[in-house]
Amino acid sequence: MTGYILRRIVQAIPVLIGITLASFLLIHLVPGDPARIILGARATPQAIADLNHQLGLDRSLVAQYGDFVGGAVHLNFGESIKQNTAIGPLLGSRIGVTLFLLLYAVIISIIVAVPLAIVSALRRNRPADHGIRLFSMVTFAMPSFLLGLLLILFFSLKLGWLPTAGYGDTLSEHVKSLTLPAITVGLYLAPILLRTLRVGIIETLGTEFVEAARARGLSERRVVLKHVLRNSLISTVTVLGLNVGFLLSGLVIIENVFALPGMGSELVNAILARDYPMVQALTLIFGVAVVMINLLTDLIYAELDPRVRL
Amino acid sequence: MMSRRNGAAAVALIAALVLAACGGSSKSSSTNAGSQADNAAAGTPKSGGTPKTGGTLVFARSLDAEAGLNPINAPNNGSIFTIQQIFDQLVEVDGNKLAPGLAESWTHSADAKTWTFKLRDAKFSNGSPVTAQDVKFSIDRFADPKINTNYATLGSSIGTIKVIDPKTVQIKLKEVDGAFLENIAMFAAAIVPKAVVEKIGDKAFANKPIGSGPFLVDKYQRREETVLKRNPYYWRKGQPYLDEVQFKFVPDANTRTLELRSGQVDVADGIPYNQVNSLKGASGLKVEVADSLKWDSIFFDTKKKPLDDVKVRQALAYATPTDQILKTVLFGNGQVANSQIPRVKYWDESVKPYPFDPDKAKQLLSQSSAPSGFNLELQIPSGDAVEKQTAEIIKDEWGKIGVKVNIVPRDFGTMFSDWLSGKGGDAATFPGDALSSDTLSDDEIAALMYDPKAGLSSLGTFYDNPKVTQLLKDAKGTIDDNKRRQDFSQVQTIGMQDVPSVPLFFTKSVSAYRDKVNNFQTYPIGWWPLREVWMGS
Repeated sequence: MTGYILRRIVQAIPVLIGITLASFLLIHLVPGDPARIILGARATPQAIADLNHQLGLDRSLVAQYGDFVGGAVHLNFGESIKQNTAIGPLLGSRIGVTLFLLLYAVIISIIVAVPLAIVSALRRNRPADHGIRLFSMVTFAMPSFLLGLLLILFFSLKLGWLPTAGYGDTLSEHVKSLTLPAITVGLYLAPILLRTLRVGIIETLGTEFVEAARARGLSERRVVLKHVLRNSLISTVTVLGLNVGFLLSGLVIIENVFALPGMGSELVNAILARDYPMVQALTLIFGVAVVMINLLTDLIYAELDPRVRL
Repeated sequence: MMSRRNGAAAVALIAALVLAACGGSSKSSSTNAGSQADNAAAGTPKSGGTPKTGGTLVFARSLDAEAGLNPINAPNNGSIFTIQQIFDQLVEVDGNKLAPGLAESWTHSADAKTWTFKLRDAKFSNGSPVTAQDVKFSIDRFADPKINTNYATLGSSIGTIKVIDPKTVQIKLKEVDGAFLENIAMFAAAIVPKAVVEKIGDKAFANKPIGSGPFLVDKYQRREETVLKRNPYYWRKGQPYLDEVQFKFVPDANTRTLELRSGQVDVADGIPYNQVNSLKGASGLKVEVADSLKWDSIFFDTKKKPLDDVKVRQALAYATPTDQILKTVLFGNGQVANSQIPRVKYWDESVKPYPFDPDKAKQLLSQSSAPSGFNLELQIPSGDAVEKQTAEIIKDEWGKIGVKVNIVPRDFGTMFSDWLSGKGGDAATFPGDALSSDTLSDDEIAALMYDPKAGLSSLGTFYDNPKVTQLLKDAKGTIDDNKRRQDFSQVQTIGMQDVPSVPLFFTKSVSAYRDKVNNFQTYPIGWWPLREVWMGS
């Protein structure tokens, strides 16, 4: 198992280099001038040239990329051009918000998806199944900014249970603040899991070992929860891993709606300002996170299905 | 299989990056759909009652002070509006006019080249007194283009500064400057403590600023919140009334409104025009539609054919239905502009705006160098609903006189750089809040608009009329207010005839607040004198 993990980590290095190189080239290819954006509309061409020199943006791309890689190895990401401060400490707090939100959303989506998928599969093509599938279609199709606002309207404005926006200062405030955003993301994620899991359960229910288990007189409850669910989860875990990686960069809208100081809105802000060092740092962090999540997914996969480890 | 999955994730991430980079801002400015708002009175009447000391004001803002809190080179309103709560200038902005700030009084020599300022007794928030040395240090920095890279042109007339005694400073000007007092009243000329800035440097000062203004910085978390506390040493006795101001960064306009409705914040700025009416009807809320130094225009590249022909530009001005756009897009929250620059000090009300007159437009075009019409590329900032809707209406109307408009939305940062270097389209609009005057005098914004040598190529129009540049020079070279007023009025008149840009609107700033907030006010220059705000029950 250790060898397997090590192998996977080594495999991830070229992927990370590829991601940072591609994003570095892309952001430099997009026209736009960070100096103009920082100095504002009034700056003279001379002031812009001076700032570009000061930021080292007038050097070759190779030299700039070399600097970035050199710094990143020492976890030194330099300074944000737009925010005029060191990137490391700034992103430290952002990562926490985003990971907390993601984890919270995944838990909510599992709590919603697993029982509904079981019911849906066992009652296939009956009213309960249709109802559940309709529900999942609606929450999946609803744009997150709309769902988020509706949740705020109901839970914050009408009932006054939860804060409208922001992140708060203490752990309990964080949990409260993140509840509505996590439900919003969770309700997007749940239908994806639900559908995969439903199909998985239906397929597994038709296999011979389930027949065998039933024939040996195991209770239906035990058959479903112990044998069917475990075997159906394999594809669902893969789907979850892929989607979490994707969501990581897709939390921008949610973070905007709920005014959360997370990494998604930071990334968009940095891209619009052509804040090259910040974009690079964030891309690298996102890249590492996606690779880690995939690794974690594969480990769970291997745990669920020992054949993978061979 | 495993590496393929990593690859897919990488592709997804890069796709997201590209989309975000090309798609423009997700924080589009106000969207408009809903009922029509009537034109609200500008400004807020001061509420009655005796001010009460104490309380916290929670303020949801559309912009954050993410670029730091150092007055020198503060690049955007997110930072500037916070800085103005922390710092003082020698002369202060008080609504539409100037008032004594850290300088109690001042005199000038007969030739208006030597100005002497008497300082009042004031202290910085660290307890040390504001001295003539601090003033010399701060104004020297303001005038130094190496330090004040963004705004030094506004201090270019400043020569030597002499400390006469600890409470008296003398500023000698290189040449007479009609806008000198307005210029040293801007944020970048804030008085900073010499000892602190020299000790910790500009970078650290941007995170831990010390000023003599009504509030001091208690907590500063970029893109999250900035908490200000009362400066116990503030020189205005009894002010500020508030113990604390919490600026919360809430980028989404709908969320800001909901925060205000749910009572979690007391004030919200950047309210979309289409929500003005529904907020006015809500109980416990007040809406402020305030005059601003912002404006909206369609700029022409006057070097390009056939836009180099003044008849063509006039024809397009006559073909622009400003009243209709004001009603349908801005919901009446603005004023049809009769000038190419915003309403600053010397705005002349008597100059006529262009009426919507398609017949006249057709006639002018038929006499021009492009009698049978032409194609025109109009670049607009992407993700900005107001600019998009405006452009669509204009496309329709200009099409009727034979000018075929091609609307090209672009990321504003890129578009603006291209536009200034003459590599943009034939015409362009900017977001409503992209440009505004930083001073209470017309000199700054008029030079940017009409003087190609002021650094921005006449805002990318490449407009160059020697008569206008001479008038601007004349106005700057005197402190005779009547003379200045006449000069600027002439500039406005000639500008309207030459139409390097079609003026659309003087726009408004919309904020809303809970009715327990007293004395809330947005100055035309954009920020709020929060020292005067007090909380009722």
